[in-house]
Amino acid sequence: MLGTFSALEVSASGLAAERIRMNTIASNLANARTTKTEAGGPYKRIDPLFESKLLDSQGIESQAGRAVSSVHVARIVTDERPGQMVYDPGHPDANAQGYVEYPNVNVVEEMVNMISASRAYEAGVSAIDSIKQMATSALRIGR
Amino acid sequence: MAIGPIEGNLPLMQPKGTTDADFVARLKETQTPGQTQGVSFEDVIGQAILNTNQRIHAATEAGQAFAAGKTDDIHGTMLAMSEADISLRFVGNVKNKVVDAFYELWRMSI
Repeated sequence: MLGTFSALEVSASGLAAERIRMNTIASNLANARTTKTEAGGPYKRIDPLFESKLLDSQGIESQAGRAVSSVHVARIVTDERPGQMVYDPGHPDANAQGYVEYPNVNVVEEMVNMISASRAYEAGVSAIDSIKQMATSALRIGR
Repeated sequence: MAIGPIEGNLPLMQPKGTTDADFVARLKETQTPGQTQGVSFEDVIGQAILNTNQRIHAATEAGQAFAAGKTDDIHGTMLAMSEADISLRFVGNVKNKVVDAFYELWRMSI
């Protein structure tokens, strides 16, 4: 059934997705200068891959009911762009030529993504507020 | 949790050209909507109350899990509580309407 609560479900999935995105951004920012990882080599930037998922459309006959989708994170992808090479022979992680590979994290880019994630989360919360407002208005009809 | 419109005409108005016996027979038909129309009002409101109860339970569990530190899903907890709140107010409004209707009939002078 496509109703108030399915709209809330869709918005909630968006909030959860943005929260995961915020986690990856925090991870990228925290590791912006990490040159050593468990897998070896410098830290690699991560990004969530969003995927839409149709709502359980059992018993829905309308076109809208079959099109409405929630979002979920399919997987976390690793950015394989090369990192910045800095000449620093004294560094413990320097290679034979004396270069250290720093993570491929661009702090400015992460800040932009952070603003985008934060605004998207706010938009989701606004949508939830509106849905609740509509439900409350509908309840006023009977009075 | 949809409460659909009551289908079918209510033959309470006696049309011209029918006898009293016809009218009484049709009146009796409408007095048992559960048998003639499939779903009774009692079933519908019962289902709505059941759904609301489930939402309240879900909200309580979410609140307890959050308070106990088992989860940090803030918006999930808030949404569970909002859903329970809206459901409960909806069922409460329906209940008020039914009780109003009952008193309306109760006050009717015959």
